[in-house]
Amino acid sequence: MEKHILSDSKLISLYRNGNDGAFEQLLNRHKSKIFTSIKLIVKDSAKAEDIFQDAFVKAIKTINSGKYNEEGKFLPWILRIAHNLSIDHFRKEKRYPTIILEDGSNVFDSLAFSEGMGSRKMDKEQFKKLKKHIYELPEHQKKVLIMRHFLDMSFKEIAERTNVSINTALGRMRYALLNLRKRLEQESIQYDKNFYPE
Amino acid sequence: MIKTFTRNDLVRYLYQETTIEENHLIKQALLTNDRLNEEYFELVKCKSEMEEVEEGPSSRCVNKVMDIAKNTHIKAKL
Repeated sequence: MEKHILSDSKLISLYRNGNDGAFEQLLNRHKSKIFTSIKLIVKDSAKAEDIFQDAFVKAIKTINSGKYNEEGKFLPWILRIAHNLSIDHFRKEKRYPTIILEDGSNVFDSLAFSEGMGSRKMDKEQFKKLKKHIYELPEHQKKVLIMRHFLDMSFKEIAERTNVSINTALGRMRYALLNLRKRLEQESIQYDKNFYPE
Repeated sequence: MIKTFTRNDLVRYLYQETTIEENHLIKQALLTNDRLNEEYFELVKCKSEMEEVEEGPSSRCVNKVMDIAKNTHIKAKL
């Protein structure tokens, strides 16, 4: 049977009309992206869960009060809430987040392998390899990759934050992805050779 | 006028930062330009591998959010 995928705004509208299952679907759709983005900043699972919850409380209240702007997109909106709450957390502790903007390699120290995420997910060994390859990317490529992929910043925002043109940011992202792909492929060729010596 | 797309445009397309009109034109370009299509395929593969790195919150945390969603809903109705 073909599964019909509802848009975020449709799910929000259903939730507002009394369908809690619609909210559950929305939560499950975006929970990993939102949680990963928070953890990249706060680098602590327990704290990240608190902020994740706080971000959703804000979102839920806004939706139920009828103040949610239908024209905006849900994911960038809630990511912005989560990002602001994460920064507030550092302000309260009077520490400044180095996040990834200063040192991309630190970010991935905070990423752990999560089990039970479905059969599509890679195994621990593959995960470690991918993490290692991300580590090894040139610094400017790594930064753009993390900012776009994990923090969901637009290329325009990245360009502004890193003081480069949008085209440069796009080029860096492209090279980061292709470099990563190349490294993964080389590894798989090496693996094949070990199995089937020439 | 035929618009030519750069490889950087493919990255914007991959991350859904192109307009509806550009989407249509890029789809056409991908059908007719093998090299562009090949590169796009590589980018898609890598992006999906990157998605595997994402980590989720605990089910306890997710359940708590769901409870809040249900309770806030009930209160809003009263």
